Amino acid sequence: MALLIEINRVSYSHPVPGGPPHPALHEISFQINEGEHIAIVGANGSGKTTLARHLNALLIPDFGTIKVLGLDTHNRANHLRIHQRVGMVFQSPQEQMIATSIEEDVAFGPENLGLPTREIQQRVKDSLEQVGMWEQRTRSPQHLSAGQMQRVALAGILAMQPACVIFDEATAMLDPFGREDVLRNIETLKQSGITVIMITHFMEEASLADRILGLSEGTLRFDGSPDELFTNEKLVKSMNLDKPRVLWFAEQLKPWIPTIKSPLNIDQFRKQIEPRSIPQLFNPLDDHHFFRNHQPDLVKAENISFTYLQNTPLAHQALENINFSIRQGSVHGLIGATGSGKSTLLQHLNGLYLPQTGHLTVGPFEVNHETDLLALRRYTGMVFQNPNYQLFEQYIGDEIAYGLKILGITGAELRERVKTAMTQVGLDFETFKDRLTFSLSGGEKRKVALASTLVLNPTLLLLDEPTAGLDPIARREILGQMVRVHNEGRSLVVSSHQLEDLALLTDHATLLSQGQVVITQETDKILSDHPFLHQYQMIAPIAAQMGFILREKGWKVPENIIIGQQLVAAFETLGAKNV
Amino acid sequence: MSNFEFTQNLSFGQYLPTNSWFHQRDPRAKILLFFFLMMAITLARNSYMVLAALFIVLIIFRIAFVPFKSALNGIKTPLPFLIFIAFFQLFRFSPGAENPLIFSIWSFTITMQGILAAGTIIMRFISLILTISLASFTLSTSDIIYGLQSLLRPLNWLKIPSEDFIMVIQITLRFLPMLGQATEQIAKAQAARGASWGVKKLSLKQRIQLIIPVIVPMFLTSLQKAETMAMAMDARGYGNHLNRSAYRELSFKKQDGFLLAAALIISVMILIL
Repeated sequence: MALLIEINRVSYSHPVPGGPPHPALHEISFQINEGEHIAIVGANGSGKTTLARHLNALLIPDFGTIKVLGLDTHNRANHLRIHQRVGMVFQSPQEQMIATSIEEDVAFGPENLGLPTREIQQRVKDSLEQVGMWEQRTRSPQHLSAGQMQRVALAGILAMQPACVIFDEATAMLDPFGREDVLRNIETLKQSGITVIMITHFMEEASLADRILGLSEGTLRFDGSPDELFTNEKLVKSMNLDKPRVLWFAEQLKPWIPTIKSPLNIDQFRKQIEPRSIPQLFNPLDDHHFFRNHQPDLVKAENISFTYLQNTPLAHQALENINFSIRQGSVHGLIGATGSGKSTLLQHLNGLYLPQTGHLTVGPFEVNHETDLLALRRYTGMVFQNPNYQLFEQYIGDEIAYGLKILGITGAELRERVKTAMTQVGLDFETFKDRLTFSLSGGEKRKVALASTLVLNPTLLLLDEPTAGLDPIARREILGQMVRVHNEGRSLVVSSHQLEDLALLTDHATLLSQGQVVITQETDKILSDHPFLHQYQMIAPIAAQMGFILREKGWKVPENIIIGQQLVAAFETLGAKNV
Repeated sequence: MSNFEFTQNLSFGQYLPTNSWFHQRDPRAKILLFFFLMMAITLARNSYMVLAALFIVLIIFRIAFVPFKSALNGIKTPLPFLIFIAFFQLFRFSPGAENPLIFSIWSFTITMQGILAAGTIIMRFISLILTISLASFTLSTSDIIYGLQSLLRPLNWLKIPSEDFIMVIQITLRFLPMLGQATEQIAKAQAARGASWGVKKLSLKQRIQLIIPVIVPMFLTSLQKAETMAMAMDARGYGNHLNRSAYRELSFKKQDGFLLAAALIISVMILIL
């Protein structure tokens, strides 16, 4: 195999205006061959993105050298050639769209290369066809979903005919279907001989690579196969990573199913289970494994509809005849593909949008044009999807105090309440209160956002995609906070396309599709039905998928399993091992 | 209408692809046509010629199949302002033999010429607004970008980097809706925590107090976005300055020449007569 990229003892520090540089990479060396599929993993802030940006000469090392196809990145004259051969799909879909229509955006790279018009047109057509966006070529990027934007971004790189494509957390903002789509495209790239480097927080995704590079605090801690990494429990822990969930659960089933070796993803799991000739039957799981709620309704929606940009040519109906209710003390999930109306519905519950038709009751409030919106918004707190947009103060202390100050609370009480809220989410008051909000990591930003809402003591808490884009550790922490908030007696409504999270949290869930309610059901019923969810572009939690496979193979585990512990509990009822 | 739909208030990108004969013309011809017309309307001295220009603009509306209603919306908003300006025109002239007095209060006099001047100024502005909205209805962003790129290319001989200028326009067009979205998100986040967004019956002072805290974070997020975008452009080879080529090939046909010649002649007539 020919050598593609050679990284030799690279160190790099981010320049900080008016301060000492912030070290990011330290003495990193490795080589990448043509046609390899590499995953780069590491906790938030471990230097993954910085490293990736060195590989296509967006950043130049302070010390050491990087050669791409033999071209040294220190020499600026090589950059155009390097940019052409090594493309990058960025994390945030929006900001990498440069032109105002899809086809022109894809043409941007080839135009920079100065190719003749005929050639550009051919390449734009070919690459858009490859990602399945040719039909929509004249649309404006702002009207696309995040998944579609990532496809266009990939097409824009393919049009430059690269030897290597880097995906910098390109799946972090996508729903599971969008993610599968990116993975499918990666598979196609591999087959056409293009080198793929992907940075990811999803260990299941990383396990698909031939080789994993593990970063921790700017040093290369691991370089080897996925099997080697994930079976080394100590190493995985010390790097603040997680094992793929399939592996995690499967290892606990080993005592009963000895054929299980270390499956890293669901396909490997399927292959490792031998079909049973005599089906093994299981008793239904006890109810204490599930969270049941029979309280009266807190939220009730009857026939609510909402259209964006009503009475304009761009009008777009987001909600259509929504009927659903949420019980008091409940954690209610809203699920559905991107664009199904989850966020819009959530924003109705605290009066950011008012229903254009129908009735909506939230606690003591009837939500319509007469409602006291300020009171309603104090009753229902909302934590938004992207923490970058909801933090607007310079210091964390001020950020959390914002809502209280508006209420006119000052002095000792203000300080005390801010302190309590920060402790609630696990942020130390003294260390964090004077830190700058923009300097925080993704996980910390979410905690601040959560604290700034909790400080107002809402009865109903709304959370929009609370774990999107977080590394596994930060994700677990946020989920823990949510459980704690619920145990304090608050009701929660959580919208998410991460069904894993909802499986752990919610008692009921409402499935939305194209602005309509498909069904509202107990979580274990709705989340365990993989074929049904798939129809609505959702993917069932891993444990439910594993249960489905086990049943196919003759292990008749209960059908309503949605979390790993339930799966293990089901096997434990069998008692004696190796039956 | 909701209070959080800021993108709606941005009147950019109203392109109406009716696919008319006019829409199909070469973007360069269309850009020049609008340029000539606007110059003529602005500089015409004769009131009748301004009226004639208004008719011509209306005729192009017909040819381009752009519904008249969508143009009227553009006039509604600035109308009070126009009337305000026109009002002062009424009193501009003193009465004389050629200029009969119509009405007078104290020392203010309204004359025939004044009324004519007021009418002309309203017509002039309406024609201008209509021309601009017609341009936005018939020129797609792609037309503007590739059209200007081709029209401004001669500047490169004078060592003026016209391509960078075009890129600025392109990025601006791309950025406006993004800014709208960012503003929307920040306003919502503040509303959710007690700011009075969307609450009825606010005084002007309260409204202004709402807007200020949105502006700073909006600039911060746009700077961050701009940085990411610059990085994405860099990664796709922008800035090599050798010779950027174009995806769209513009072809100037006989019909385009015809349209342009007609526009030029009409504009000169409006100016001179």
